[in-house]
Amino acid sequence: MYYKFIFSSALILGTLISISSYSWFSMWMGLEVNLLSIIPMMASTKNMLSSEATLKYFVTQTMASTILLFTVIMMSIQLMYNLNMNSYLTLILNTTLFTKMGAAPFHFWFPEVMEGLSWINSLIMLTWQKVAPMILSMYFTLNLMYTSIIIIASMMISGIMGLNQTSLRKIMSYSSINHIGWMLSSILITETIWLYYFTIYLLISINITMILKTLNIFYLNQLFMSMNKSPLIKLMFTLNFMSLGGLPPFIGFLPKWLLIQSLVSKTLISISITMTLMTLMTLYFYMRLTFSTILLEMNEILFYSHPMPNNTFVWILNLTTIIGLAFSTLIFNFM
Amino acid sequence: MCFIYFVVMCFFSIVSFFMSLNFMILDYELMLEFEVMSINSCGILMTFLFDWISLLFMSFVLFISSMVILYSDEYMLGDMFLNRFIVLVCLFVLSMMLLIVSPNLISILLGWDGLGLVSYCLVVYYQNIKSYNAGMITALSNRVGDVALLMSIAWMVNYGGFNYIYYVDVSKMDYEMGLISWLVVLAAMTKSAQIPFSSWLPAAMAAPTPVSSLVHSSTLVTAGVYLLIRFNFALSDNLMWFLLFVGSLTMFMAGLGANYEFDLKKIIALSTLSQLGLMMSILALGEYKLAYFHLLTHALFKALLFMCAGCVIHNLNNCQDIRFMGGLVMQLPLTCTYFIVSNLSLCGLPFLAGFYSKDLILEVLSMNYLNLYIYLVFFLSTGLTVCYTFRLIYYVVVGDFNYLSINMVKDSSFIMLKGMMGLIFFVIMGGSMLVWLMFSTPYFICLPFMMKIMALIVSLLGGWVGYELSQFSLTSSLSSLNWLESSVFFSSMWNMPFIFTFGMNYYPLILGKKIYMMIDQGWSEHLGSQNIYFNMKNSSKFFQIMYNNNLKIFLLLTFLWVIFMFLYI
Amino acid sequence: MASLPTGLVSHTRRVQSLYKKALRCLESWYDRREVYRYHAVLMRKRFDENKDIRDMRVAKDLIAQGEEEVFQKNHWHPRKFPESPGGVAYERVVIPPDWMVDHWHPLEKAQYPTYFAKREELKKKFVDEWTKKYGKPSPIAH
Repeated sequence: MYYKFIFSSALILGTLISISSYSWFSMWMGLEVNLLSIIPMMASTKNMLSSEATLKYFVTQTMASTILLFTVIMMSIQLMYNLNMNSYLTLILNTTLFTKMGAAPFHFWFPEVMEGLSWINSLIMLTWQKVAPMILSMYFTLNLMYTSIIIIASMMISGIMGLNQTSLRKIMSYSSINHIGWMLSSILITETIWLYYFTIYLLISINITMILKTLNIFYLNQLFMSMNKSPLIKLMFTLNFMSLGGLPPFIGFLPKWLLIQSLVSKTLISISITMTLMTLMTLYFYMRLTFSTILLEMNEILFYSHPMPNNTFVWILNLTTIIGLAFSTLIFNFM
Repeated sequence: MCFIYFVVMCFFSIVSFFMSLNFMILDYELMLEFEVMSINSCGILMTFLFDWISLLFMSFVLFISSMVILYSDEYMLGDMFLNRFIVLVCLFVLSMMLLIVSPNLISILLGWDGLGLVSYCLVVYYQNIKSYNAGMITALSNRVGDVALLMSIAWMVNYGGFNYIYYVDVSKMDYEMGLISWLVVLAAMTKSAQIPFSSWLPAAMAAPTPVSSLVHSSTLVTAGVYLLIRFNFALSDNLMWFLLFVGSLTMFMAGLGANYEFDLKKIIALSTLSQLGLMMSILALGEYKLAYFHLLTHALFKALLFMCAGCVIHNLNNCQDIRFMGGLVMQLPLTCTYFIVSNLSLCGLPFLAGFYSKDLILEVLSMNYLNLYIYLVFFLSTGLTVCYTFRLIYYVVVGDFNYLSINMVKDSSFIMLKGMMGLIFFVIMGGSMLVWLMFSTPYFICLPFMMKIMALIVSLLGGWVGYELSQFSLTSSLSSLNWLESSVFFSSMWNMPFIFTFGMNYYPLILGKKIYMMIDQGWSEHLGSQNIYFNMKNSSKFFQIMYNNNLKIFLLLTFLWVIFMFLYI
Repeated sequence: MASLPTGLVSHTRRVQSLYKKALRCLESWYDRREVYRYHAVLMRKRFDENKDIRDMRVAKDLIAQGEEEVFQKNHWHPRKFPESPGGVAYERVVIPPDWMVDHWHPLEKAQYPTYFAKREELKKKFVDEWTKKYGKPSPIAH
């Protein structure tokens, strides 16, 4: 197990190298370190699916990195002549980064890879693996039209495709695509909101995956009976999904609120309307997910021994995501 | 539990009574105001106004409700949900308190809606079909008034505040402001069951008797009159005439209807309605103090009357039909004594509570320059009051014993008797006490002899008619059967339930059904949510095809996209 | 739909029910006992006058007239006992039927072991007595 420790430090290191580098080359190098360290962590000898997922991830990311490197070289040639960053080269650069984070038209690898991972790896894939591409895309000027197309595509794909899924990991990955859309729009206009958004998304994802990991749930039909032992956990699970969908009394609403406001103040009204509407669809399948958990209560089984996530850390996290909106204004004291 | 609430309420009643005496002597008013928030310079306030009117009324309401709670301890004995009952009654009293002390439309609405809601809960306390229907008609009729009050609140935003007490003088003259008075009168008419809205009042008799006692004496139905007492300076002349007309008609209609009714509680309910009409119409003549005076005395004797009726019903095992009663004076001597005393007080027998207010009202009316119709209706209704009272006394107290052979009718319920005993003193002395307190200078009344004794004449006449009507022998033919159509007309409150509930609802209900079928479950469902879901599902299925061979296609597409981009550089 | 006629009503039944309805109607109109008796006797006389009519056409007309009259002279507030259908206290207190207890969850039943043991015993005894009295219920043919 020690190798996981090494590789996870390398994983974090890669991302940090990448986002704090001064040159294109070291940025690329950080991405590669990140990729190469997650591959051994994903691969598990016990499961065929995970090696398939590993391979898919590797191929996709490598292709993206290759094109990234290629573009960087092209750009360094071109930049000798003009300093106009807003060229087609930037679009290619953005394409590679979007491929790396899994935004919509370049997202095909994402649910497939997620399908073969354990919950912890899924959590890494949902959250940490997005940090480097997203922060890197802040360093370039984003083409407004191109990014808007990407955002809307992410929204639509996540909403529509999520309706049809029964695997919880796939649902989580489509919901992640949805959140990528939101985060891209925050990258487009205000980078501070991206920080809020990502932090809150991270918290909620940790909560949900923790519960699901402890109860060993991977598919929708496992949800029916699994939480009957502890109604509190059941409630937390439900409310976390509502928070993830951005319903007002929970903290998931806060970043969306901020984002919509700044979008509207930048007169990006139509895109914010589209995002809000499309998020309703994701909210719909969250609700469907939680309804089967909370409403369809079968007979409670007395002798059902699953460990319930029951430590203080979990409670604090859950409380943060659920009632955090009331205290959210406190963050402005520290910003 | 009942006893605790009894003690608490009794204590507060005494406290507020002495407070009101103090305020009355010092001519003092106290206004407490909490600002909840302020929107566009329009403050939303919680205001309490304490003056002698509100404090005196509060003390009466609390006193009566304390007696009623004491009484219901035995009346509801063995009921499974006694706790819920007592809590509901207390909530009821609480909302009444809120209504009494607030001179602010928003804080009034709090008490007003509370009354509507809790009265619904109390009417449906016995969970049978009759109660459900009665509760629904009660709640929905009162809802009309709630809407009127809400609309007047919305209108008052124009004037930058909801403290109507500052605006009453203005709204008498101003047309736009006068709309508020019209809406408030509409609200008061629903609460006090004036003529288009009267049908809920007899229906609400499905509630347990202690509740009827409370509702019909001092709390729910008097809320409308009390609101108008507060608003009386705001009513314009037209509005006054309208109110006079409606009130007097209600009084006459209810008095006549009570003569044809056979349900003990409904007779008393109709008598309440008649007295409410009296209060409304004297209020419409501008004598708000007299209306308030009658409100208080009426609260006393009507509460006692209902409590006696409850005692009778309790003893006769839920039997409310007066044809089953008769000769109860032998079995229930003390209850029947209370019953007769409060009934005579209702009729206005000299020196009982009702005499002071009723006689004063009639004489002030006679002093006014009014038309013959008003005069006739007032005095006829006074006669009718005595008429149905004597009929009731004849049926219930004297006469033959008509109940089942196996019975257990006796005055053994001491707690109920104690509750009634607390009220009987006020029924006898309350009128003189109040007239000395409230009218520091006596009314000056100067009338010709015949007009002066007219009240006495119609009362005696009414009593005689009531006695004659209810007594019939073997050979006499039944006049109500001979005049069947008119009897049915009068007994069903002039067809009011049919016209104003079924008649009003007929077309809207059909329309509602049509809209529900065509739009809610028809086109809007087909083209709206179902259609969206269908399209989403289909596109989701379609996209799923692309995932079958995905990675190959995906990598190819990305590659092509990048090459495409390079070509354009 | 209680008002739908679901069976053939013989003439005798019609007369009997008309008589009873008329009595109930009189009872709500004449509320003194002796007066009611007097009018009941008068009404009885009207029935007795026509009891020997053998011609069914005439008898049918008469009973139709009688029913019409009872309907026309219906009281607006018929005299009802409180607990009977239409009375003020009808269904005020609902007593749940005994078989509700059989539908309890086994876990709930387990809380009162002695009661349910006794109950099962009594049920068995009842079935035994029933079969002894009426014989075995024949299997329903389908």
